[in-house]
Amino acid sequence: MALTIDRPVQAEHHEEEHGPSGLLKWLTSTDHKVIGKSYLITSFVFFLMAGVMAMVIRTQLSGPDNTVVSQHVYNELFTMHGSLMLYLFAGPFAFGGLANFIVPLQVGAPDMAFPRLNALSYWLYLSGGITMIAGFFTVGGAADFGWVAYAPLSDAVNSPGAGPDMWIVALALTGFSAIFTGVNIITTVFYLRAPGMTMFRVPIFTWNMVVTGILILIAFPVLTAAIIMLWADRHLGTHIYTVSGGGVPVLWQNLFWFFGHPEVYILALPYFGCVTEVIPAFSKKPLFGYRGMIFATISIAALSTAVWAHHMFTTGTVLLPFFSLMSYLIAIPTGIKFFNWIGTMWRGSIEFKTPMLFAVGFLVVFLLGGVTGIFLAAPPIDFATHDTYFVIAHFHEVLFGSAVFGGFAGLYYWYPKITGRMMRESLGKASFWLMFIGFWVTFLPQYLLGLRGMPRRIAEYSASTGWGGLNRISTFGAYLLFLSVAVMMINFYVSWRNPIPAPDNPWDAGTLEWGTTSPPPHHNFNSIPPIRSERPVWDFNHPEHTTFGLHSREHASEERRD
Amino acid sequence: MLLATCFLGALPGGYYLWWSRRMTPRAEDDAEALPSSGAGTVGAFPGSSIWPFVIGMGALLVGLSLIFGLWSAVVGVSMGVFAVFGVISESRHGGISRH
Repeated sequence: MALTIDRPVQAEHHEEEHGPSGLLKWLTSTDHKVIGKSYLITSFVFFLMAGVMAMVIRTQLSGPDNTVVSQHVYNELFTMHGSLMLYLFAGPFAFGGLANFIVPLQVGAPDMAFPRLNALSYWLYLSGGITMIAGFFTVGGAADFGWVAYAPLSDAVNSPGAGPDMWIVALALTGFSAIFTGVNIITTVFYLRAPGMTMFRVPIFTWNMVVTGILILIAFPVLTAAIIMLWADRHLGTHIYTVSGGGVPVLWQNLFWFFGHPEVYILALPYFGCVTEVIPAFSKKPLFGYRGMIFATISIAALSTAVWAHHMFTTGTVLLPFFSLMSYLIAIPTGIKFFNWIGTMWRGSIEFKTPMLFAVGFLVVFLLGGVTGIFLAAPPIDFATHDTYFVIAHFHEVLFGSAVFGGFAGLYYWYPKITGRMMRESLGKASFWLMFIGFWVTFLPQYLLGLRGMPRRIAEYSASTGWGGLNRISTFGAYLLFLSVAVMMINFYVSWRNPIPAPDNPWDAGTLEWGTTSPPPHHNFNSIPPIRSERPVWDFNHPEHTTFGLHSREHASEERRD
Repeated sequence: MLLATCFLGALPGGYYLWWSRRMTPRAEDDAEALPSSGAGTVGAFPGSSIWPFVIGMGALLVGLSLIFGLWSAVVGVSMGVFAVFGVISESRHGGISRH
């Protein structure tokens, strides 16, 4: 664990050759790479589960008066689809998975600052996820009050049973998991950087993870408090959210959305980070506006804590001008980020490999989804579209755009580093195009449906509404999305059974993780190049383009010759 | 309220500002540092440890006890207490395998 140069083996460092093996090795691992991979696989499984739920939802909605599932089951499906995707996939995939694996590598650290806490975070996440899914096996079924669990729908009178309680317990467990990972990442980035890796040379992916970690520390305790109070209302006879007894139901909405809005930025910022790594690598140009990106990320995070009531415009209890203005303001730093992404691509020699395709897909999808968010920031438009499919289309565009397009860009980009194998380009491109086309076919009609008055969270609609045609198109698009994920699974399988070994730096990228083997060795680096910019590996590999003299790589560890 | 919040933010901010002026710069904040500046032990990175898993399962049992009966909370809490002692002793002797 020591980065030593020319030092004799220290007496207390015994190299133990026989650690645990097999299942016990996984249960006891504190290696950030193992934990990161566990998060990636687990969150991907939850993604697939939630995706199947979405297929059932879309099938039920494909035509008027369908009876594929009952209304009660339908309510469980959309609740669990949202909960799994947001709490168990989007956050853990990027923040628990990619961040855990990549952040220590990008700053030149041998592991995370608190390896055992890291492992605890994973076990809390896994047990929370299993608890949430286990709700389906209770007598009353899983939680069915929407992923937002508004009071009084979520109280003991309207949602009795163990399923909602398991949902609450699951949120507590996964919430603590997120908080601990946030602590770990912030500490790692502040205290374990390699020599020369100043804060303003740290890659934007890592910067985004730091800001996300801070947002998690701000937002998740509020959620935990809110769900504890919900628990108390359900089981301890309190009247915090119930009118009879002096409670205030809208308090739940305020507390939940004070968590909920930073939460969606907690979900988005890591994926912005993924895309900010992919675009420079495949444009063969350094990132345009590095400091602007940091400024924009911090602004987005700060503003996101001040906009929560834009989810509550129609309650009649909100100061509309303030929250509308703050919501508009978030467009500015987001615009800065877009400008910088495009500026990075401008006059670059762009290579449209699969990660870059997904990154450009992200740019298109997130831009248009974000723009519809700006529409919604105007209260009059929100009054007309609140709780309709317009909102569903908006948030799916931004969430799918960031978590799926951005996340898959990161996944394809770092897959060689994580597994030591290459994914197949042909299958990757096919998966991308199926996903891109499928996405638009699914969600564009939903904007129109919302404008034509189709409310959200309805299990069925009658033929006289005239919504059948657009819904059928949307369902067809959903099947295309299912197909694209299937192609991606085939890609995983083929890359595993017929591996193409990955070189250290298949994309000729610049950040520090590409300066070690694929996959990285124990404690990450056998040697670290000198760090003089935000892309030290590129400087080392292309000395003809650098102005500062670089010495040969100094060997980091003498005693690790095994 | 807004002023009070700004003051609240200024408290740790001011402390860090004061502290950062007093501290000796570290190698990672030196723009001209070489990798050799990082020589020496970087930190303590506990190797394999069963205790995070034990604490995690204990937390799960405590959580489930809220739904299914407080008896499992007893098991969960005792797993947690056991784990506290385990973590402390592990930190003292270095864990299952030390790297």
